[in-house]
Amino acid sequence: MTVLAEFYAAHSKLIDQVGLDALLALSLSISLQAGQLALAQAAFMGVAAYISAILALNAHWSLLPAMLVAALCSTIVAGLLALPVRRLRGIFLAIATIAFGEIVRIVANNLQISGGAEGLSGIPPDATTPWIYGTLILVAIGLWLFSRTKFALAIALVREDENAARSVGVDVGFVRFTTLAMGGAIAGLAGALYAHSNFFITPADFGFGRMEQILVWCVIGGITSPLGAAIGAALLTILPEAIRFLADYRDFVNGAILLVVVLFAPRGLAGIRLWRRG
Amino acid sequence: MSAGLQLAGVTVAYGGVRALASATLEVAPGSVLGLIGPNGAGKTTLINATTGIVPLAAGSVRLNGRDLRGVAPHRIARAGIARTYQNIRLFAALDVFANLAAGAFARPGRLAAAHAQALLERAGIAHVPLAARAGALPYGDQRRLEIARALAAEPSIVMLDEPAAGMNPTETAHLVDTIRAIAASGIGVLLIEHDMSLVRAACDRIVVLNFGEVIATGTPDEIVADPAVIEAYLGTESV
Amino acid sequence: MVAQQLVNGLFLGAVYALFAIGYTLVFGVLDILNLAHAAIFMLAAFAAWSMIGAGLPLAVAAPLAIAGAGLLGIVLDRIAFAPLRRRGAPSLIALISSIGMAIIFGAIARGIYGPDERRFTLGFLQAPPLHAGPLTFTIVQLVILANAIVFMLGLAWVMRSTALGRGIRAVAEDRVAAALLGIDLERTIAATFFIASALGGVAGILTALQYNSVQVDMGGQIELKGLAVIVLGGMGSITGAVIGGFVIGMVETLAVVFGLSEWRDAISYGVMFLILILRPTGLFGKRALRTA
Repeated sequence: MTVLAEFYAAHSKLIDQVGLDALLALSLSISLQAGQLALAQAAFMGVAAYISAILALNAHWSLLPAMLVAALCSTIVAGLLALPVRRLRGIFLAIATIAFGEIVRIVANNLQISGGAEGLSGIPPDATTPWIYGTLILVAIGLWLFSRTKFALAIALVREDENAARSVGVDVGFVRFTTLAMGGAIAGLAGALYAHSNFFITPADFGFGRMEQILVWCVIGGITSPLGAAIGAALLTILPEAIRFLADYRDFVNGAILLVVVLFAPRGLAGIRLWRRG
Repeated sequence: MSAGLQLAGVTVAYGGVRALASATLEVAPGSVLGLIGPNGAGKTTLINATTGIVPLAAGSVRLNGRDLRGVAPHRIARAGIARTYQNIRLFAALDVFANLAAGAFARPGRLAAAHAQALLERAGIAHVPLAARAGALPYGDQRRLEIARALAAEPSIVMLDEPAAGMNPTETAHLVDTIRAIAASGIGVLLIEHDMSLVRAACDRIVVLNFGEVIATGTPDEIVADPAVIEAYLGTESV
Repeated sequence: MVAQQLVNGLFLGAVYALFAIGYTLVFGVLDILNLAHAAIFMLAAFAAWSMIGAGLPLAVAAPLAIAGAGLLGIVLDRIAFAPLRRRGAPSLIALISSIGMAIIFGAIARGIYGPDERRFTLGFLQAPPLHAGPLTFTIVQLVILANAIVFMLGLAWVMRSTALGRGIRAVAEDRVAAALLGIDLERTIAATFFIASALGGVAGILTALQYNSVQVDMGGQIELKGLAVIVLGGMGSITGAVIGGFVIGMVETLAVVFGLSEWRDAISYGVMFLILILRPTGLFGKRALRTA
């Protein structure tokens, strides 16, 4: 037991990070399952992180209500984004959502209430490991239950062939809206938890770099597999630390692994598992 | 309120081109209406206009008395019109059962395995495993799976867009039985086809399109003898 | 004052245009968004900086770095895109692949040069600005404009008057038809990457000179601004990239005039967002919405 406790003590930061990254990967995977390349998760995360932090710092809210309100806000933002982009597909949707993310980041960079470029600091570190993993487990269970509903089938149909989906009665617009909103909610939970486990947040934390990372995890894990996405996140979060001894070559190895997976395991990790069962 | 599908004066225009000009036809429940015409005559456009995919420039589409003009495609599907596609549009990466469940999406509740099996039987592919990947099926089975998917919606009207394309004569003959059985169950069938033997055997009435216009309507025997039809088909299909 | 800002906008726009042409060329020919483009932009700047530091004059270092960037573009395609092409993989996967290469390029740069900012020790960078009536500009800005004009005209000539250029346009229009007409696809694609990356390299060197700064992260902003440019100009259109580049450059500098400098970038991204919502094909793009 003490071995575990020691392991935890030595690596708690990393363990927390893995949990948060897994949540973020799950949030994107829902949109990807609907075939939507909606790359605004980092922005949703940021919105919730800031709102949660502001509530905690200025109004002394405790973690749970702050987190819930923050996630509600990021969900609303996601829903509002879904409206103007409803006709966009593929790379056009991707770029539009990237633009949106940048605008959110710049807004946070310029407003006083968000602390400008310096961000906010002194956020009470309420989001301990149990909070993070508790949320992750609840979200995971929720998504698993959700995967058994008819709506989940609708999501797959929209991904496979939008027009054929319409011809069997699927309201494609509603599916796209809902998956975006769900992604906003989960990313929001992750954002609030991130703020409350990191002491300080800056606009740069929620920019395109973070978004790229989340996308990479999902692709590595397998685009249509939420479990794969979460595992991809975990793996690629742990990996840089595990190969820390490689020091300067760490990034290089990261990029190389990404390349190898993309070139040789096109359906990601989930794909590899499927092949073995073959 | 009249049952079945009624198109009256339906006109579809793409830019300046009229793909369909004042098309009028009727599909009664329990009957099979054939829709024939040379390539580019507007047959698929007619299906697309009926299912709400392309807007009507003029005319009306009524299903069981309800005006469908301006209704979104997914709602038209839910109202009871199902279709198959000229180029197969199955959910190829999903399995057979998922495709059938997709067809039954608008129905309340979930598709039971027994019901799925019954759908496969009605479409003439009872031997196909429910867990098989749809895209991996032989071509003829894929076409029939599309029909099964359409039936899963328990529609009032089924529109089949060249279901016999690529089939050999034996398969085509079986298809006649399948189509007549569908009609016998009370569904109105609109059948687009080039294969005249199939059309003559399966259809109660036929509508002939050419250059977006209806040039003839009648029973198979009447159509075969119609001079306007013969002229339109001269040098292409044999009647 | 406004006139001066417009002039400044011209120089900024010229660099944006050169960079964006690289994006749009690859997108037009392969339907791929190459997110390693900004990394090559950065590597070319470092290569030039290294060579100048080793004693080579700018007039020699720059062309070498630009050619090197072009070759690196071909290498990029061979490693990251060509295998996917052979497999018929969707372009989302190519996007991810380009991210992987961008990470690798960044790691290489960081490994060689470290994370710190480097500066040039070129005399003309410190030279006093010139005046023409009420307008002021530096020698660097003139260098930028001259290079931008030369390269854009050069590109126009290649695209219009050479077999290679016609081949690229043919492949961009319809890959299958081009192959049927006997055009060597792989060679054309390689040439496209060479040109696109070389232009990215030009933009990188000019940017480094403009701000007298070379740094591993220098591509971060222009990577996204370049997207705004090609969206405005129309994805796949070189003319669009040029005009879009100048428009975005002007918009940004005018934002400063109107006291909105902190919101400058948000305005560019806002324009990008609006274009996508209202007219996704941009000014000159021909492509209908297509899935990734």
